[in-house]
Amino acid sequence: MFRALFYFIEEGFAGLVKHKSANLLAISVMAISLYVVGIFLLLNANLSLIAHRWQKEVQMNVFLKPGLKKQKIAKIEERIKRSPIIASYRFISEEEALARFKEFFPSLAPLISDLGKVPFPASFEIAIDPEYQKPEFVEDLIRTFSRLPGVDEVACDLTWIRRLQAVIGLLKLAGIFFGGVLVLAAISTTANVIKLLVYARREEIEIMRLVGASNAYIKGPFVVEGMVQGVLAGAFALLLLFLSYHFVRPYLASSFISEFLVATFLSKKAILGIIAGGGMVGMIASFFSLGGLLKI
Amino acid sequence: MIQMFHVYKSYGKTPALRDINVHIEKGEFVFLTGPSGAGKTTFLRLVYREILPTQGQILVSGRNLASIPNRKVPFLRREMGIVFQDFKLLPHKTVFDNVTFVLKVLGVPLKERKHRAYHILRMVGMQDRLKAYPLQLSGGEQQRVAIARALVNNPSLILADEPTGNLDPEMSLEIMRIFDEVNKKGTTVVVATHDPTLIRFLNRRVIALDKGRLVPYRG
Repeated sequence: MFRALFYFIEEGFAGLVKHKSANLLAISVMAISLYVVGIFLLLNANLSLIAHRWQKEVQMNVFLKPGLKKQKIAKIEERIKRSPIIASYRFISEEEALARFKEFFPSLAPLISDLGKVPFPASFEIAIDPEYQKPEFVEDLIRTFSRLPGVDEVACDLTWIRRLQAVIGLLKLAGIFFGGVLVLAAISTTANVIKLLVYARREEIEIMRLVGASNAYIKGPFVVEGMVQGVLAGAFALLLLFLSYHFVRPYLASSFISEFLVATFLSKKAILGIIAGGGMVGMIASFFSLGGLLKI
Repeated sequence: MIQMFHVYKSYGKTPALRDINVHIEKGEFVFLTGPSGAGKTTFLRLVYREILPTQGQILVSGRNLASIPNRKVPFLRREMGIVFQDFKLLPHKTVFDNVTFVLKVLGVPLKERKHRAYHILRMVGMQDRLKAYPLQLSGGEQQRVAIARALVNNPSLILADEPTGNLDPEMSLEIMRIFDEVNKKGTTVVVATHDPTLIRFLNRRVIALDKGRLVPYRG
């Protein structure tokens, strides 16, 4: 068992060195396929990140009736605190609301001063736990808070939540679909290239068969070779991805959409996935490419 | 060693061998002759089970080839040594690696591989070229390496398909001498050739084929 494994590894690496140009071709093809998959993963990761960040900003405003007593405010706060679907909340007093208004619309500030009293109600700004940002939960919450004494109005953009939910769902679905298609494309491209390379070495395979090498002994080194090719291709694709990422990021940062972008590179899991996936693709492709040549 | 009973083989509709009945005894040296296209190569491919007959039975060392499953074929081949006209050496492996490839597959330790390779290469006069690559050798030298590879696992049967087809007459006789020597040690040898000089040189039994049929040999 170990002897065979040692033989496969020894011969596999020897094959890699001996057929440099052919292997370079296979590695390049695999690397390009994996690079495309990687770009897709990167886009997906960044889009999900943006979606999640937006999700965090989904908030509910509970506006209080003017001149409400501290005790009543405390009661409302108590109720908000108890709700398990609320991630965080903040109390905005009338004065604070006014200060904010003045900050955002300085030209209108004198107008407010002329009024003599504060026209803005105190409110609670509530961030909803992303887990519970579903219309049914939110609607329920709106109903509950509206009924509390001292609450004037509860505002929450439900359609915004619905849209965000749809976008996230679509992103996930598209991710599964396109990711799957790209991985299949990568496997089939690699399998075809390896098939050609194996075909070029059919004489070698024939000789091995004629001297009595079993199929496993013929396949083993090729499979190891394919796996190493795949891992190298994965590493190479990651390097390309990383370079592209660093090249594109400053350009995006200076553009108008930079505010929405919190660029991130692939997660450790995805990085390992690309390398391991490359190895698997190479292995599988080699294994199946040899099938036709080993029939007796 | 080899027994064929009413063996037919056709490739599609083209018959290659027709009603072949042959017995080759253990330890025998047999020439298989006939013009090109007579069926010599098909005969040998049947024996090493590269192909199966369309009809009829073939026994090699008492085993019916048709009943050997594909995965057992490598074991059958390890008991044979096969030599080809175009040598079929692995170009990127050294003489030593080519000769000992099958031993490596069988898990023979390096020390033993070295010993056996040296011994067998000395027999064919190639013991000084262990580290050479096939393309650095002449045709005659390559064929001697190929014969060494065929012999290294002590096969009970040697099959040679036009082994001297690419060699000059002098080298051809040298190769025949090697086969003769191997045969004297007890190995069964079947050499396919269309060269009457070689047949006269050794004067052994001749199986003649013409258009896929057995015919009497008229040397």
